[in-house]
Amino acid sequence: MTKELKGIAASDGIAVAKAYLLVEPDLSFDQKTITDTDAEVARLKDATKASHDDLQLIRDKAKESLGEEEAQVFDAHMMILDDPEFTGAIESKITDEKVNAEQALDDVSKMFIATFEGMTDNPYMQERAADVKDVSKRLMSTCWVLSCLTQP
Amino acid sequence: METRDYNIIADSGIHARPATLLVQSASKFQSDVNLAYNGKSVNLKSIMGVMSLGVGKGADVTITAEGADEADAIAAIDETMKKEGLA
Repeated sequence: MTKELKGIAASDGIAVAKAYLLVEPDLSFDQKTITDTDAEVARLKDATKASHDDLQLIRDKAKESLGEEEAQVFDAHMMILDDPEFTGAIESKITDEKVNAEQALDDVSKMFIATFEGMTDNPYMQERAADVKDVSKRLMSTCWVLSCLTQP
Repeated sequence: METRDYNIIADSGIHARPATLLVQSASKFQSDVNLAYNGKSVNLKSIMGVMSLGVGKGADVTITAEGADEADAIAAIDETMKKEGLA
């Protein structure tokens, strides 16, 4: 005997796929006074290079799956990492104020973000502020990853 | 030191792709290259520096190059400015 059930379709299908948990890494850090500033600058340079390499891989993958135009946003991020005024400012802060790379990066990126966000009549510059935020976050998390790997 | 003055004719000023190409062009050379606008001067090898200047259409800017390859630098930058329709 069959039974007929009437209902309203709540969705137009089902999907079966891997569930990814989006985890926001805890990028909080303590400001530290640094005695060996050369070593700290070297730490920053390692993290910058690693981030740059990551971005190149991501850029290549993005071009394959999303296309050249979408991939170009990562070129912008790499240019920021290559920017001597950006990395130079962070290095100077480490050397002059004897702070750790994370603190220096945080201060310098906040400064640039504020400059670009301050150009409220210019939507293009608002987007550039977002680029700086993204790159800084990546650089910060790379610092954290690398410091985990080098811990005894 | 080599100096060139330009009036920016591009509608969106020195932004986006042209800014990127200008910075890439300047970065190839050893010389110090600066972009001056409205009383402020920035390192033309810095994309963040160029962006923060906010150079719009109609702006008068001065580019200077100082160093061993300053003549080549100015020539390359001049070519980029014209090619990208910046000035």
